[in-house]
Amino acid sequence: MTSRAMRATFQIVLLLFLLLFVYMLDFRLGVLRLLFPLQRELIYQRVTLPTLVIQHLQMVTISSAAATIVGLLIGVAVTRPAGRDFLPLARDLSSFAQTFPPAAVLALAFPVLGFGFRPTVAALFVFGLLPVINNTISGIESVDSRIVEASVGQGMTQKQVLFRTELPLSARVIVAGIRTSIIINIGTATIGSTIGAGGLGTVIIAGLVRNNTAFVLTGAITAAGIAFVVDWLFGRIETLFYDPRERVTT
Amino acid sequence: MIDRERSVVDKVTLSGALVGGGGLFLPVFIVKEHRLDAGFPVSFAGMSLPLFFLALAFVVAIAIVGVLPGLRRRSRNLPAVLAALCLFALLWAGTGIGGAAELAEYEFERGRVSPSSGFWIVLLAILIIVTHSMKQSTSVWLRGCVPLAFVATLIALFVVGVIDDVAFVREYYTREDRFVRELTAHIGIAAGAVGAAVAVGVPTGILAYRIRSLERPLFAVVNGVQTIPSLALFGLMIAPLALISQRFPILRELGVRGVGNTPALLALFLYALLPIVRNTYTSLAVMDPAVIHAGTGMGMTRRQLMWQVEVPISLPIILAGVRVSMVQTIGNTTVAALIGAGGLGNFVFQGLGQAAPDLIVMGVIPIVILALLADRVFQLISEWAVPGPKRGAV
Repeated sequence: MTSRAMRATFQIVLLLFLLLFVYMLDFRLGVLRLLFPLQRELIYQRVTLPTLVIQHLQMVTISSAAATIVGLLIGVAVTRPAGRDFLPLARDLSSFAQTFPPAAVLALAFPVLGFGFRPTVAALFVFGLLPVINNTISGIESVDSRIVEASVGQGMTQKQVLFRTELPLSARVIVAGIRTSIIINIGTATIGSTIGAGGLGTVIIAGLVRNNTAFVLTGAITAAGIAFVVDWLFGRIETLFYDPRERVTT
Repeated sequence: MIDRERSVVDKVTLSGALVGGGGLFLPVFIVKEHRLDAGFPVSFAGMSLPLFFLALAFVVAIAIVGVLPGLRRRSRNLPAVLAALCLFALLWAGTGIGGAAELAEYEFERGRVSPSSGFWIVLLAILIIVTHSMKQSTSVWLRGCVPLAFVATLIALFVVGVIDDVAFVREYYTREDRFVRELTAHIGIAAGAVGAAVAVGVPTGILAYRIRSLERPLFAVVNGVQTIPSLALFGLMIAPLALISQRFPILRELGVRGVGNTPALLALFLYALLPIVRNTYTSLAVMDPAVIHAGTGMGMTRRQLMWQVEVPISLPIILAGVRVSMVQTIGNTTVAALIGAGGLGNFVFQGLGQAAPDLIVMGVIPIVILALLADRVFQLISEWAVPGPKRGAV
């Protein structure tokens, strides 16, 4: 088996395991019983695992979608002639803000916005913005200026230069930024349960509080599994934007 | 295009002044009786009119610098930075001398003051102006000193006792001893994990470069670890470690348990690996073979080649990796408090548990300062480690 085929098999097996673990109660019970023969309470009763998965994905989808849109807009705005004065500022501020721990940003959302789902989404949105802004800027900046000049020389309008030259050529870098943003958000959303947002952190925290390792593992496996699957998915999307000529020249 | 037709008006400084000026009209503080009290908002003008006009004067000064290109060029925007520093000091000191505290004591027996929307907005404006001004200066010395000046101002105000009425400072005074303990634990855990990651990560990076067949699987594993949510990784450490400590009593006596510092250190170590391994690998991969050839041609021995050529070239890149690791680990150590490890996260999650925002802020501020300090310090070290004539060249 080639390494690529091996990887694909591994990914399919893991995806199947994840689906069975989340949606087939008997399967999950079997796995947990095998690991923790002495533990009496294996299944978290208050909320079902599929519900927690849905909550988790909702938080991440809403915040990351908003972060992608706003981050792209900011990134594009500061690379236009009118907004160019703000470009160093946007880059510096977003890398400065990235040194803030995500858990800290989330914790600060509570005093400002209160408990629950919405403050968590807001915090995830703010933190998720940064990689998108950074990568949009560096993606557009890395487009060869000769190509941009050639586009202008062909009589393209500013809008056409943006949509037909700059964005397609920087798409791969931008998608990488979105990927980073989503992966960070999946992780941070886990901590969101400490401010009452629900999601997979709920069962992990419940396990930690009640000293029930089976609960902890249930949440940890599912959260890690989702992160892996989303990461692979975006890895795939990124390769769609590879320029076939690039491999030859570099 | 010559000088890209720099507009006469500095848009960024001006918009910074605009944001700051706007913030001054919003409520800057919330005065509360105790930490669970909703409190009532106080604006700068409502607190003390002279202080309000002083703050406004600083904002106007910044705006004037923004529209005078001659002054800006000659002074490298320094007056704006200075005015921003004064505004910063005034903002904090306002809680003590501005009458907000008196207001608090008048209304309640012993009130406390929390920063409100106006406070954060003015702070953001200061950040915009300072960050922007730093870009104009090429002096590494100046760029290092200005952030320090802000930190020093805050510490000075704290020592003098002007900001004692600020709610999170109040929280600090009620648990001074524990604060020192948790801060030390936080630094210890983060530094221990990154130290171990350097000790393992650098050889691993070299190995990944030397043995081509190892490269892919190694990076798949190290990358994979980074993908796992932090809380999940901490959770995954508990079961195996609990098992090991049950099997081997010696380890249990050494403090290896399913919860506490051991699983935290292990998980943080695994997290910290990726940037270090990746940068070590990159530093070797980007090395120009011509440099090695030149060294060999000069008759360098294998050892000389390593210490005089390879290490100096790769060190800055590896240090950049350590920097990313360190900043990330300081943040993740916060989460480690959830599995019973020490560190400042304990305050944060205790505050969340008790719905006490002031306690959360008290925990978060030192974490953020630690992360920023680590970032700065490692940046300076790696700038210093760049070989060759470089001072002021970048």
